[in-house]
Amino acid sequence: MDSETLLKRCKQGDELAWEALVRKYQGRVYSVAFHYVGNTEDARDLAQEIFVKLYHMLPHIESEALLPWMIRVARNASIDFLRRKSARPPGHDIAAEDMRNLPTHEPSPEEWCERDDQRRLVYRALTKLTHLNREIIILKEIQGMSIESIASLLGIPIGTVKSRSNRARIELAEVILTLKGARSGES
Amino acid sequence: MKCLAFEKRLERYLAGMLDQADRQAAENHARRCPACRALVQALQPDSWEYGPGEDFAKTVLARTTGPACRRCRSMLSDFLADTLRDVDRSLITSHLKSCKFCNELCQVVVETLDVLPRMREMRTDPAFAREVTAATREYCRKRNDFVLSILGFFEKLLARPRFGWEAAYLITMLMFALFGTPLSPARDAGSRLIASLQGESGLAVRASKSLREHYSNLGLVWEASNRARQSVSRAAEASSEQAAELLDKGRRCLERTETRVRSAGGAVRLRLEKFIQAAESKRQVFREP
Repeated sequence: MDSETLLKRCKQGDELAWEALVRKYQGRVYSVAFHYVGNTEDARDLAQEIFVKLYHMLPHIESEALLPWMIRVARNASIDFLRRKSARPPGHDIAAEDMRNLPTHEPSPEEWCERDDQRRLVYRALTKLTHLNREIIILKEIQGMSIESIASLLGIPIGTVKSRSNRARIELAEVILTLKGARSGES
Repeated sequence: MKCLAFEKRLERYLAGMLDQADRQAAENHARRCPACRALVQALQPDSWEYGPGEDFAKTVLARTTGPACRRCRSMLSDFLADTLRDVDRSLITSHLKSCKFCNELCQVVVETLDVLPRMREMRTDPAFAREVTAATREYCRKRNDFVLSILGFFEKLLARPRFGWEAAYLITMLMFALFGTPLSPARDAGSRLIASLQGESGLAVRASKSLREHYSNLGLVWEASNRARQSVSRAAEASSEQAAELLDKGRRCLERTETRVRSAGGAVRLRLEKFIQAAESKRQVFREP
C-alpha cells in the first residue's frame, strides 16, 4: 500500500494502517536515531518516542512530505535526546585528527544486527567525524535528503552544505584509511 | 635509401608522419643497417637507461609548490561526480595515476558512497512495531478517557432531578452578590444604566425635534423656491410683452421719422431746384450784353 493511502487511513483513525505505517518506516527512523545516539538501546527508545510524536502530528502531515518530515522530526528528537543525555555538546567541532584517540561508543559486536565489516568500519569512522560533517553524511549520503532540505533543516546556506558535503566525504575516507592502517598494523 | 637520407627522415618516422612508401623504405634500411637500427632503438622512450626515475617529479615538486595532493583532494568529489571541466579532469586523472595515496583515497570514497545508502534502513526486532502501536493506543485511550470523563460529568449534572432549582438558586445568589449588597462591585450598575438610557432617550427626543424643525424649514424653503420660480416666469412673460410693445413703438417711430425725413428731403430738393433756377437765370443775365 502506498504512503498516501496509508496516511489517509491513519488520519481516519485506522489502527491497522498505523501499524503498517510503523512497519514501513521503522527501519528509517531507527537508522536515523541510531546514527545520532550511537547505541541500540537508546536508539530503540528514541525511535519509539519519535513514532509517538509522529502520531500526534498526523493530522498536519501532507502525504508528499511524509518521509522528509519524518526524518526531520527524527533528527530533531535525536538532537534533543543527546542534549538531555549530554552525550556531546552541539556545535563542538573537533578536528578529525584530534578525535582519533577518543574512546568510541560503538556497540559491541554482539549488539550489531548486521555482520558487515565494511559497514562497521564506516560507522566507526562516522563517529570520529566533526559534528556537522557527521550530520551532513547521515542526512545526505545515508538518508538521501536533498541539499535544500538539509540547508533548511540545519539552518545553514545551501552553498555551505555543498562544500561541507564534499569535505565530509573526503574526511570520512581519510579516517577510514587511517582505521584500516591502524587495523592492519594491529594485525 | 642511404644512411643520410634515413637520418633526415628519422624524426618523422618515429612520429609516424611518413607516407607509406617512405616508411617502407626506412624500415627496410633499418633492417639492413645495424647502425641505423641502433639509432632507432636509442631514440625509443622505453630504451632510456638513465631516465629521471619515478621520484623525479616529486623531488621537483618538493622544491617548488609542494605535492598537489591537497588540490586533488579538494576536487575529488567533483571528479567523482563528473562535474569538472575536461582540463581539470585530465589533471586529476594524471595525478591519480602517479599518487598512490590519492588513488587509494579515491577508491575508498567510491566504496563509501556505495556503502552509505545501504545503511539507510536498519533492522529492528519484531516487537518494535507492536510496542509503538501499544504506546500510541495507550495515548489515545488516555486522551479519550479524559474527554469522556468531562462529558460524563456534564451529563450527570444535567440528569439531576433538581438541577433547574439548583441552577436558579445559584444564579439568584450570584445576582445578589453582584448587585444586592453594599459591597457588591456592580451595585449602582442598574441606576447608571437607567440614567444613561434616559439620557440617551432625551438625546433622541431632542434629535427628533431638531429633525422636524429642519424638515419644516426645508418645506418653507421649497415653497419659497416655487414662488420665486413663478414670479420669475411672470416677470419673463411681462418682460416679453413689454418688449413687444417697445418694438411696435420703435417701428412706428421709425416710420414717422422716415416720413419726416422724406418730407424734409422733398422740401430741400424744391429749394435746391429753386436755387438752381435762380442761379441759372442770373447766369443768363450776365451772359447777355
